[in-house]
Amino acid sequence: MSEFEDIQRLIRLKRFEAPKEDFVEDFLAKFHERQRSEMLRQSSLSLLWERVTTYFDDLVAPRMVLVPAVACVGLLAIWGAMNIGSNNASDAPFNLASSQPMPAVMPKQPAFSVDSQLIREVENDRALEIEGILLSRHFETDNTLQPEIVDVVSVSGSASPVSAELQPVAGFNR
Amino acid sequence: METVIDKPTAAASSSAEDRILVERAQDGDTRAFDDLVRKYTPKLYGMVYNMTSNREDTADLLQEIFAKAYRSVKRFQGKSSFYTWIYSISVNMTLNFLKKRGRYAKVSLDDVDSGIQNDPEFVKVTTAARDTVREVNINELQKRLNAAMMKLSEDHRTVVTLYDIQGHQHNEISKILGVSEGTVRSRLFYAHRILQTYLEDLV
Repeated sequence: MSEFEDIQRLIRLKRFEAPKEDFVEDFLAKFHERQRSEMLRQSSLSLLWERVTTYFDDLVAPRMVLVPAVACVGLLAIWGAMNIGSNNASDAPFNLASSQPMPAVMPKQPAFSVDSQLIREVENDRALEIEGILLSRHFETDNTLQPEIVDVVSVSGSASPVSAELQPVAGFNR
Repeated sequence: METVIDKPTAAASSSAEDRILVERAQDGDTRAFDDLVRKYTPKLYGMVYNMTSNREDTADLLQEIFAKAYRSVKRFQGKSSFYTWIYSISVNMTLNFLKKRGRYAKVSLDDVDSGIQNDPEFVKVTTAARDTVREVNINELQKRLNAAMMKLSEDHRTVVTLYDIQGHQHNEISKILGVSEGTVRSRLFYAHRILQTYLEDLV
């Protein structure tokens, strides 16, 4: 017999402090009510989250992987937001007439151009071709279109271009 | 020898029945979970009530306990019996509740179960055991027992509730609390000693 037998017998009397008979069914009814209200309270976001986690559970993805992945996405989002914020802070914020002067010479090539030897050669050839066309047109003797030039050429007796000598054109002010 | 109510062996023998109900609940059968609630509510009520000494808190806490069990039942893998699992949830949630309540409010120790006074079996036991329970009003006895229980630390109160009141064995309490059997025995010994000092005049 334990030395605490009497005290244990006394404490055992508390076993009789049981709920009433109808307690369990009332309790169950309240439990159902609570479950229903919890389901209604669940926001669409939490439902979405639950569906996402269930989907990943079905994919046998370990839960430990999901947490770092979510953390990484969150960090990337924060980093992106901060980066955009700092860029906006350094620029003049949305001024149509910028306070900073435009650069004197803007690059003529588009931003997406590719610098390559082949392209340069093609462009060079094209420039030469255009130059040739222009020169050939220049030396054409079209009397109907350029009577003054014809006069100049006939006077000077040479075939130098007009633009090179800048001869005054007779009757220009007429 | 006194008859022991809610023998743990009975709970152990019904573990196969529990397993079937749990499997059905895991498949989404809410009626199976209802059966588990019906089966374990009286047992868990006794445990929670004797820990909190307050019926309203007990009912609220039981709702929380079964709601948590319902949410977690799909993750229950059957490594332990459902009985051990639900008791572990209940003990942990009750201890957390007591910690919070201890921080924010003082419980009224006068909150006794008036229904017990009309319980014929209780009256029979208390009147027959005149050598143990001396000339003392039943209501007064309840207050004294509750007050003595509340003098115990939460850990000591837990083992007294599970062992003396609920009738669990040392090894079952050890599994529920996640401590060694030696720790359970040690806590019981100190708890009984403290209770004896508070209830000395009744024994």
